[in-house]
This record gives sequence, C-alpha cells and structure tokens, in this order.
Amino acid sequence: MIKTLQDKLKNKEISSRELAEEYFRNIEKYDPTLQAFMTVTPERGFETAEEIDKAGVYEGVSGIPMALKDNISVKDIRLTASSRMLEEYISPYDATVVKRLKGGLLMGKTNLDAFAFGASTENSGYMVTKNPWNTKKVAGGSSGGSAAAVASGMAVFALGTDTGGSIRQPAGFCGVVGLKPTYGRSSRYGLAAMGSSLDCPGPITTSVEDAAIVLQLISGVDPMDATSVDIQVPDFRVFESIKGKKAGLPKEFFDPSLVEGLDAGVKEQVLATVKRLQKLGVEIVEVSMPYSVFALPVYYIITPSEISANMTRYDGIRYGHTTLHPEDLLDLYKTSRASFEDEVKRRIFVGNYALSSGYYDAYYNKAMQVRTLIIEEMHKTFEKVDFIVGPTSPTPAFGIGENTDNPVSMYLEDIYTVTANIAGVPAISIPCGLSDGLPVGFQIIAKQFDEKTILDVSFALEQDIAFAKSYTLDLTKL
Amino acid sequence: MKLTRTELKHLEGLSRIAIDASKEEEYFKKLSTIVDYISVLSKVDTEGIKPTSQVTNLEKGLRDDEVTPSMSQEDVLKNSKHTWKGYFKIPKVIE
Repeated sequence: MIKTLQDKLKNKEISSRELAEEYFRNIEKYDPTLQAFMTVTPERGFETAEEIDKAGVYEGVSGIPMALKDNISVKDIRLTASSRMLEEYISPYDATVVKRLKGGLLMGKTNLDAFAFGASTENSGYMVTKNPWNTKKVAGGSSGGSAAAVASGMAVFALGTDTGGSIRQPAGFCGVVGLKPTYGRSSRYGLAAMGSSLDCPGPITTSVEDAAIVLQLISGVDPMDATSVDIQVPDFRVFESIKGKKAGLPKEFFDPSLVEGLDAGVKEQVLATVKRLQKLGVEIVEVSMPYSVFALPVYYIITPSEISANMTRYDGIRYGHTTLHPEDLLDLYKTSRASFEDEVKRRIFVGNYALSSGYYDAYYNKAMQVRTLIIEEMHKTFEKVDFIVGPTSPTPAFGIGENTDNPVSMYLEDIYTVTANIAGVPAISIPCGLSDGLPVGFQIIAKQFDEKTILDVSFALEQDIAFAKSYTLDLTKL
Repeated sequence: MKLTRTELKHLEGLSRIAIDASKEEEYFKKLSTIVDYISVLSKVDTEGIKPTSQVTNLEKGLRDDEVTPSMSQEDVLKNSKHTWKGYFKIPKVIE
C-alpha cells in the first residue's frame, strides 16, 4: 500500500495534504467508536504534508499517514503511555525510530495498556480500544490502538512495541500484519521502557511489503541504544521463493495437556495454513520444544523484575504525576506513584518479590537459567528447520471484560508469543483466516536477524491466502 | 511458595507504593495467583545452567568518551513541577 500511494504521490494523482485529509476524516468517523487514539495530531500531520508536497521527494515513508503507539517519543508531542502517571508529559526528544520515519505524516499517538503491561488495552488508564471486526471484542494489546488504527484505515501503517507479543497479538486480533524484529535490530531509544532485555519496536501494516518497507527504515545500530546490534541490514523489500525450505511445527503448541484453551477455529485455520506451505513447496517437520512451555512463567518473572527496576524513574520529581506539597521525600514518592494503574502496581510488586533477598535465586535467577535452556532448545530446532510456525494466540479476539478478573488468564494469551522475546528472535503475525467472524493470526518465527526468511514466507503465504480479498471488514457499521 | 500478607506489606515499602486498604484483599488474591503460577519453574532442573540476561551476546556496550550536544537544561526541566533556579527541587531530606 505504501508503494502504491507513493506512486500516486509521484504522479501527482494525489497530494500528501489530500492523503492526510482523507485519513484524518477516517479518524473523525471511526475513532469515537474504536477509541484507538490517545492524541490526534492534525497540526503536525499537515505541517509535514506541506513540507513533503513542497519538496516533492517521495522516499521511505514520506507523505504516508502513520500512527505511533503512545509509548514512543515524538518531540513536543504528549506521551502518556496510556497511564495517568504521564497525563501531562510532553516528550523533549524524538525516539530513534521516529527520526528514521522522517517524512511520515503523524496522525496521532495510539492507545495501549498502561506502559504496555497487558494484552487487551483494558489496562489503559483512559479507555478500551475496540476491535474493528466486532466492537464488543478487544483489539488486543498492548499495541491495540495501533492495530485497530491500521485495520480501520485511520493510518496506513503504525509502530507498536513488542515485549511479549504486544505487536503480534493485536495484529492477529485485528486482521493485519505485525512484525517483531530481532532484539537489537531496531533501537529502543525513546521508548517508555518496559522489559529492557525484551522490548522491540516494530511495524503494524496491512501488507507484508509495507512491513518490509518500515522494517528497512527502522533497522540498524544506534549509538543511543547500547543493545542495538551493528550487523548488516539486508534488503527486506525483495522477496524470494520459499520452495525447498523447512518449517518446524512444535507438537507442544497443539498438546491440550500443555496449552489449555486452543480454540478449534484457530487450530483449523493454522493447520490449513500449514497445508498451504506444503503446497508452496515447504517441507513440514514436526519438532519438539518441551522447554517452550516454560517461556510464559519465565517471562512473567523476568519482565516484572525489569519493570520494577525501570519504573523507579517515576519518582514524582523530574516528570510525571506529582504531589505539590509533600510531607517529606517518601510521601512525595508514595503519593506520586499512587497514580499508577492496578496492573502497573501488580507488576512492580511481583518484580520486587522475585528480586528480593531470599527469593532472588528461586525466581529471578531460576528464570534466567530456564531462559538459557529455552534459547539452547531454539538453536537446536533451527539446526533442523529454517523457521517455526504456529498460532499467534490461542483464541481470536476475546470479549471486553472477559479476562480481567484473573491476571493469569490474561497472561495465558501470550503463551505462543513470549518464546520469541525470551530468545530474542524475530517473529511475525499474518492474518490467515477467520474463526467465528474474527481474524486468526498465523505466527512465523526465525533465527536471530533472519527477518528476511520471515518476510519471504509471509509474502508467499499472503499471495496464497489473499486475506484482504477474501474477507472484507465492514466499517459502515461503526 | 505462597505469598504472605506480611510480604505484601514489605513489597509496598520496597516499591514505594501504598495500596488503599479497601483494595488490599483484591491485590493479595491476584498477586497470590501470579506467584502460584510462576512457581511452576521450580520443577525445571537447572543444575549447572548459566543464567542469561543478554540475548545477542553483545560484549562492548560503551560509546567513545566524547562530549556531544545533549538536551538543553530547559528541555530537561520542562516536565517537572519541582524546579528552582535551574535545579530539581525535593523536600528536605536532612534536618
């Protein structure tokens, strides 16, 4: 879609300004129902559009309407991370990924679970984003606003962040493409930190080619992020045949004694997509990854631990919610931090529990050891196959309010996605069909820095599935 | 392992977060469910396994020690309500 639109811009069939107008109109039409945007930025969007129209140079994503998850810094624009803590916070600088998307028309900043802690945007301190396919269902999370915005044409593409599935799961729920790059492929500088050994910004798009275009731009080492990796960035925008490749299908993913609650419709669509791979000349190999079932508890120890450390920055002094007349320093901390949402507080507590004296070895250190076992198992699997496939989530989009009573039932949503974060490998979700009228995400996981294979496979499948042609999202009901 | 109410109090202190008395029961219940869930890892044999904290095996994480332009003082302070003559201001800690 990016390429088609840029061709139209180049041929003067449409101007950037007109494009921005069209997308801002869509926001006016659909966002009151969907609630995908925390902040809409017409001033910034039109300003960039005018610059682009004047310069007449169309490269990268210039002239293309985009949305950014509201935990990504854009200089002089509000960043809330969808938490009351940052209600009035204005970013003093641009995130590196934002600099790299120069020329993109900013439509606005999208809703998320507060600080990206969640899988449905129900933990947002402001509102719940609705799924454009069925507004009684969640859009997924934490990048639910970004996924809903792209699915409903309120932005051509968006950025999300993925710590345990936060790009892939909402993309899957909303019937769009969501790519989590390798940890270190795209810079974390300017993101509101969550789990620093796992966080990854990446694209949410309507096509595989668009995901490749955006990934191309945001990839590469950054001196401002010491964990970004100085490694060659291949041309992701050229797709090669996948004939003769080997795909691993982990048997644990479909074992009801290990993974509870895999929806029958999801299973059917995923296995039908595996058949498509065979038809495309891919050899399917059943693999066993017994440690992968421990990725979820590992994630829910390591992530809260890193969260509890990262969230100490919210001290009520330098930025964020504060109390103006504290009794003393401790009172300043406590009254300011009271503005955190419940899930934020819970994760800080769990992290401090896992790191506290007496429990460090049993929880945090243990989780880091099991992380090693999961990584080794992943390496061994990639000796046998080129990529791994499976569902993105056990179910299609669930009902609003359905999973909010028990935090663990919400965590189980991440069962298929967290392994890629724990191992630092890239993974994508592409729409592969519908279950009960709701999109189903198909996940493809590859070796570290092998996004190329993921995109080649996704592109081949996208042509074969023709999701957008087969299933149209009816926005007139919104 | 089971979370105890004394531990929850201890965590509130460590986290610099006070829970409203009316919500204490709910927090205790939900946190207990999470602690029960993550305790499943005790079943995994990790004897002699090295812990992983960095997944891409990076070793050099330092930039050259060069002075480069950074954020202006004005930008650094503009999101704070506790400033005084170009500084952050906090309540008196030592009497």
